[in-house]
Amino acid sequence: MTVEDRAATSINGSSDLRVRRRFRPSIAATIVAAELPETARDSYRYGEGIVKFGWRMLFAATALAATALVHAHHSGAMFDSQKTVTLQGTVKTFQWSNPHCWIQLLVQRDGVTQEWSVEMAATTELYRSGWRPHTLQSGESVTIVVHPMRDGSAGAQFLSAAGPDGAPLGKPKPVNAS
Amino acid sequence: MIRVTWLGVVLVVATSLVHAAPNSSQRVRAFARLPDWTGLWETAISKELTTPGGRSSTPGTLKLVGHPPYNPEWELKYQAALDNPAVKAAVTETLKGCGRDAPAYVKSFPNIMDAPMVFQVVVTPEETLFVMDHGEVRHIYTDHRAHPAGDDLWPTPLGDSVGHWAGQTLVIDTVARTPGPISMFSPAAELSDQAHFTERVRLIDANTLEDQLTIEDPMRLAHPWTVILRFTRVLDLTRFIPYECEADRNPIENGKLTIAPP
Repeated sequence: MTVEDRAATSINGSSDLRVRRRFRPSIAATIVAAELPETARDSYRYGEGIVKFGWRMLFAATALAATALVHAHHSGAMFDSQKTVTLQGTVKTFQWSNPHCWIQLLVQRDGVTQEWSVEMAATTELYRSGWRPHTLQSGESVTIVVHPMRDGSAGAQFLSAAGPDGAPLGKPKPVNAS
Repeated sequence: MIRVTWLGVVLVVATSLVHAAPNSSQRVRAFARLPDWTGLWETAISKELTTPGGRSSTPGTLKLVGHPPYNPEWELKYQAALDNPAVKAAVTETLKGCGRDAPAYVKSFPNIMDAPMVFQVVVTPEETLFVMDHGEVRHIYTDHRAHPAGDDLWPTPLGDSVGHWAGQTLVIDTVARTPGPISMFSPAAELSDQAHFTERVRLIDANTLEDQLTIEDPMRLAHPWTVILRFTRVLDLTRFIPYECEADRNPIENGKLTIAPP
């Protein structure tokens, strides 16, 4: 039984694996909650014992890890974080905006052009990652690695990008780079 | 007539001198006693989410999503809310920090202190301002005033804050906060309009601000709840960049977040 399963059992009070798996996403968020270090210390102080304290710390680690699912602006639930897809295409537009920047990417597949909406972070996060409003230009060829939408639509969450020369985009060039 | 004219001239000159007067030596001394918190700061979750994809690559450090020490009555309600599919979906499926369909409580205190935010702290003798990049501004009045009384006070998302300096620590007292969830990441955990917040904010090293936040709520909590929030100095931004939500392309359709065309 994994840590997540044990945590789910704790939350749902059930040993039914199906229930536990069904509720696993809720651990990711609602019960993210559950116990954090301060709370665990409170529990210890209020006499719940070192064993429970240890368990709660373990549970806290699970909950904290689950927090990684949270997106800056919204839940990441619509993206399949278990799938990574590489898209090669041409930039239609690069939208520098909040709450997200977007790359509208034209991808050729089987003779058909499909337009993808690739969601990025907000302008501040991109700026801090070396991106600028003109990092991408319309018509530019680019390779983008993404987490695709769960529903199969042509949308995705941005992970990384490289230009035609294979160099990663958005990284400031070293001072001594030629 | 001449006397009246001279009197008028004297009054005008005197008035202009008052308005043109520089800071009094008393105010300058008061400024000098205050800590230097200039620069930009960010919450722990903001630091983790600063990637081009916006996704945290390390475990989160949210503090306000813990289990509040509810009294027996509200513990039952809290547990029921945790089991409520709609409450679960509010985080797992439809969580939004701004824009259309985002709940009002995302802009409330103390959530904004534990949400993805970059902010500036402006310290003056009369008040300290927390200016958040999402637009919220906390006014912490340090001019020895009390909270408004009676009908002059009503709940608002940020509440009413007054403070004082205990050495280099800013002690903030906040009341009259709109009832609702403590954190946008934990909508099941709500506070009443009687919640009382005490913060002790201080610099613990050159690049870290600590906010020890204690929440009391006689209507809901069995005992005070204290969390430690830490804010990190932002070293890779040289200016404050406001965050608007002008191009929200993530509508909620059929209970799911989706992507709208540009």
